[in-house]
Amino acid sequence: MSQSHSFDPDPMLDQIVTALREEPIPDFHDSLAAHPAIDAGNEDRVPDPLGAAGVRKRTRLRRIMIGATGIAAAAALVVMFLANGPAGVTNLAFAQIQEAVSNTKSLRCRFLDFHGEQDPYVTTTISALGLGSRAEGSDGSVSVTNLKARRSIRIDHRNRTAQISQLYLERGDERDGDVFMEKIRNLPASGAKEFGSTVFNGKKVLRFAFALDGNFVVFVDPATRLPVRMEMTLEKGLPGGKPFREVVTDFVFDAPVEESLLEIKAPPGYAVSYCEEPKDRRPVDTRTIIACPAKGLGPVRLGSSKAQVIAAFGTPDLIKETFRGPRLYRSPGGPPISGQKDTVAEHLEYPSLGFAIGVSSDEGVAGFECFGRLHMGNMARDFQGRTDARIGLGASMDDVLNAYGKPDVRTHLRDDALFYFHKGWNFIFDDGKLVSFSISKPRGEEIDIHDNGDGTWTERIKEKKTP
Amino acid sequence: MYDWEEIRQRYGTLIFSAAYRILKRHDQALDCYQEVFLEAFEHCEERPVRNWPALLRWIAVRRALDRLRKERRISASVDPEKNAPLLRATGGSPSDAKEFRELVDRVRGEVAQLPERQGEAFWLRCVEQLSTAEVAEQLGTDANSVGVLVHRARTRLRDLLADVNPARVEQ
Repeated sequence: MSQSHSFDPDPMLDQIVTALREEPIPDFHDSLAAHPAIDAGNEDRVPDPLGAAGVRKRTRLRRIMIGATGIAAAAALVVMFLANGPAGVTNLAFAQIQEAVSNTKSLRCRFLDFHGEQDPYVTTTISALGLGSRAEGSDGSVSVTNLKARRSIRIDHRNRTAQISQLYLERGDERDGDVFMEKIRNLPASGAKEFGSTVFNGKKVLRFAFALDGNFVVFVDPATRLPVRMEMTLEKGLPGGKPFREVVTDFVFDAPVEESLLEIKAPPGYAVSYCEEPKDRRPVDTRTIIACPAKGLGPVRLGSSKAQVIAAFGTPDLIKETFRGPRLYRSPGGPPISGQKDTVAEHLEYPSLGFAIGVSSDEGVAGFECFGRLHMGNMARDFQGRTDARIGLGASMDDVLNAYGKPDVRTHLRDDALFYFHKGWNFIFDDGKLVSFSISKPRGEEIDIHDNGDGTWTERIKEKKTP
Repeated sequence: MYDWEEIRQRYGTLIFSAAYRILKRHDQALDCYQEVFLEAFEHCEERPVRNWPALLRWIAVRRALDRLRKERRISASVDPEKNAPLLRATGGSPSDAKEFRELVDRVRGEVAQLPERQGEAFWLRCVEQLSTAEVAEQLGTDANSVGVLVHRARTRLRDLLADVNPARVEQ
């Protein structure tokens, strides 16, 4: 049976309009609101308002910088500041700037890094989405990342050397090499402390100023919504309280990029070294490895020989000689004691396993460092082992402090670091996450270490107490 | 120079609410919220702003409808079923809360399909309850034209509702 009711769309429409008007609105937490810690000029890191997702982005940005450009590592600071959940009214516009940047396919720009009073170190970079990047430094170094070839090359024209390294790409890494583009893309759409317009090169631009660990300013062309210049200043960004400043300028978006610029090819006559996972090396499961000064790194102890290391972990991806010469001298600055054999110090590098081991011919293993993609980008795999206190990469600073107590030195420069010289640990953090830790022979208790509070420390021999 | 901090504090919730009412998604509304401020900034560079809430509401509504339009285009290309007649299979009464919600959602979507100015005028006048003069100022037209735009929009939506005719119930 069918039953019909009269239906008048007009009252129904009014009813619907009322419902639309009275739609329940969820709580509105204004992400543009100024962060109190920032406003107060607090120098401590502030929590990322985006939470874990924000941290992940920032970390990813940082490793992109390290992995993709190498020589432009300082530029990673830009990432840190850009991605640090800035405050203020103006983050509003960043979503659109990100969108504009995300629509670009390539970028050329220059980084000028000012270390204290020194002349700037200039890096010219080219990056192309999905292809890779090229960075040329003012010291004659060139770093190229080629995503298709899954290799990077670092060329030192001064010393006529080149190192070709394997890339360990994972899903999502096809964007690696974008350098600047990638970090802008990943910026949280939260914003600047100031918002306004100014004139740059005779052109009106929008200005976004961030105040986080330092001052960071982005100038944007309102017509294209693309950045035209970025400036970042860390007043005490270098050890000893010296300032660090970085300017990124001369942006050219969507310029054609010749693929030949991204070739992984050393110039003729250059000494070439390779850092690649040996194909015939037996697999090593780093998940089972425990690292600590007393026990070493898995089966390898501090003091173990180079042969023992290779027996335990197989052929390194790369062996790099760091020192060769006499160890003992008659006096500081004086001639070496005759008759002694040269000491050879080497780095046995296993980025495919996430660690590197320092070994010398006279003392054996002197120390090792464990790292992963958070620190090295796509130049390494993650070390998946733990310390003796179950601390692994990605742990928080609080985790480490709870496990190992008060450090001898705590630095807060371009990275946060905890140094436990008397226990033999160093922990490096980025965005609040443990990105690498290293182990060396613990300092003796007779050595007193004073934290100068500016990223430096002073070591003294303790005065002996007379009975 | 405007005090953007104050503008944000005073009208932030208003903008978010206007965007949310259309988009019904928190993340989208937040994105829209940001876009509104950028556009407002550019707008006020060109001419002075006399009525901030009306301007911000207008931008929010326009941006949100744009987003909804874009979203519907994408979903239509992916899943044509989403554009199928709303109540064809429900057979329920309009008094039923669930079906009424669906009807509300349907109308929300249809507003995004109206000609842009019709959709904006309708939403600003009927949902956001701006005065005709305020809507006219934002749309750069006069009150009579706004009346016409709203009337046309209502007619089209009424036709839609008549087509749906949810009162017909099979028993």
